[in-house]
Amino acid sequence: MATYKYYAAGRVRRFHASPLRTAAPVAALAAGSREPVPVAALDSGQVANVIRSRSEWLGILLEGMTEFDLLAQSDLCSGAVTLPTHSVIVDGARASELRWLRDRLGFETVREGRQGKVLLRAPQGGNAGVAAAFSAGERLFRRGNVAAAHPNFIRALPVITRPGTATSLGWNLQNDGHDGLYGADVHARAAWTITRGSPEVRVAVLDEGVDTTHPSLRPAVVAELDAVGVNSHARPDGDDAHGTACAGVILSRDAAVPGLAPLSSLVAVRIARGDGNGHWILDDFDTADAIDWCWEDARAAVLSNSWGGGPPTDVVAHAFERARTRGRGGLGCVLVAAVGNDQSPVNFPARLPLVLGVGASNSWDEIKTRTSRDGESWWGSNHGPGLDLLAPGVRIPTTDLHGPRGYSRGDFVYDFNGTSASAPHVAGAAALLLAVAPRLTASKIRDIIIGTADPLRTASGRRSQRAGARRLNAYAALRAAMRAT
Amino acid sequence: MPYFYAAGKRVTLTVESSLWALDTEALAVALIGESIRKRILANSRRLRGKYVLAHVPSSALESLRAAHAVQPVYRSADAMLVALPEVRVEESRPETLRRLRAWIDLRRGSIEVSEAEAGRLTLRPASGDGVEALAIANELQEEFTPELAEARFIRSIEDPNLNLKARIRPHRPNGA
Repeated sequence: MATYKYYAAGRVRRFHASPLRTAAPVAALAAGSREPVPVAALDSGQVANVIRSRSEWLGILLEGMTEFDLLAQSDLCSGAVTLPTHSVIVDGARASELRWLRDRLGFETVREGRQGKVLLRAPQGGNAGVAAAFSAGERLFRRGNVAAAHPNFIRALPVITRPGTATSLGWNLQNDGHDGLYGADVHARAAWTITRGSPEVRVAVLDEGVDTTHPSLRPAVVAELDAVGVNSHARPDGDDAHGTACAGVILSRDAAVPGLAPLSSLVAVRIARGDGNGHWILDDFDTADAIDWCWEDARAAVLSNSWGGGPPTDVVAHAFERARTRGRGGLGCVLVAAVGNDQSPVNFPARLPLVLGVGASNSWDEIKTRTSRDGESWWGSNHGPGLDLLAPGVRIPTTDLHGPRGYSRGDFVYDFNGTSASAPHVAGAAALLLAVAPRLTASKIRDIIIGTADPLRTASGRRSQRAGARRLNAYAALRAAMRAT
Repeated sequence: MPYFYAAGKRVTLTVESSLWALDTEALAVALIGESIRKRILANSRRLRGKYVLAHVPSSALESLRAAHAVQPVYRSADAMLVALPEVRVEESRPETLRRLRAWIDLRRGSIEVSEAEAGRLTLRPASGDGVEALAIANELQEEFTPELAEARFIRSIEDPNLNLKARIRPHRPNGA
């Protein structure tokens, strides 16, 4: 490996050149992430041939260099491969400087560009010319009479995957700013550098049933309960896909549509059934018994509740209280509930004091309202006392019923909406925290999740003063949990 | 006006005058005409277990009440509630529990009692009447302020999918 120096932005830069054929296989990091994402490795012959076949001009710049001569610097962060040539770019130079370059170092002008840019070629070919280009650029810049002087680089950049394709994550996990605000997500990529969850941590999804045969959920299932009927499983009726979608947000093990804590275990609990007329029917006693079963028998550590409405009931509140105080051997279960979608006061049970009440944010880091920028004017997140924090709740990719039933004809849905989608993000984050800090109490986890959430900003850039106007940051919560152990 | 207690506070209930919760087992043996029975069931909506939600002709109401086949339907906070003839009671304080048991003992004939574990009791009024269950729970609340005394409710809440499900578009990555 040879190291060359050149100047850029007035500072010395080092170029670590290796023969392209031995350069490290390209392992790209997705933009903004620290986690390697394997991409197809480039080999030297491919690069050389592609360069020459695509452009006669580039062929000229690399004249005299075989694929065995080509030098390159691989950038593990961007996945880019940069090749130096035996030409140098000079910008903003007086004629006397170009004459100096020509007379003293033998460089010839190849091309004049716009706004005073000139490209000059070293007299030597091959790698000697590359070394001459670095040297000439450095010497010329140090004379102090040019705006820029450095080798002309050829860059081979990986194609950036278009957002929304199967190989990219949903905005909720990694918001790349396409159709939203860059970074307005739960920071899943960063969180996954610490953990993707643990099978020891069981998350209960209390809903209208979960398709426990779904290929992306089935491996996670450790317990099922049907509190509605007498089935030995918790699978839903007909097209009822809500619980399956909620479970997927937490722990889908699909590579393209992963949950936030994909290595966690799933406890599926059916507590409700649709009546076909826009209502869910629940029996408060059965719901309370199901909650008790979760912490007592199924050993769930987190209870995710994407349901709510109606007046409060002590029998359910007491069951939640037992889960919070007696679950996990006295450390307590983390209780999470959706606040509701009517843009009105927070629903029961989310408004219970020690339940994490979760509202919806959109990809612009706004609280979801009927007028927020996402364009979904038919619903807004509930608000007020009982709202503890927000999590993504608009157009969330997740699991759908296996096969043609459910929201879509396939196994996944890409537009799951509502605070029903938000609450499972927080449940997933709690599962991540418990994977690294299993001895933390439920109250501590609750405090960490709320305390590390990112405050939303107003249009003027100030912190929003609205209660609960902060969006889940799973990475920050994980770091705080690790410090707290 | 009917009510119940939650977190020590009164929650008022509004009676839904046009709808009733029907016990389909009791309905089968109630002294009403077969055509009326069929008409009621044809327009009913399934609630939970043996219960359905239905409109009941006023001419059949007394017979159905006599057969303990109907329970009133209430509304509260955007939900529909049906009180079933069952009360759950929880109490861990020994003295309060003793007084509760004494109160129940005085009503052994009219209330069936089971105690799965100490301090967790289930009371069932012999009348099979949800309204009576509501009254028992309220009396216990007002007399003893136990940790829990609540009638068993079936609740019908808005489907979280409502207005969301219909707008979810089948969609594939890359627009496929």
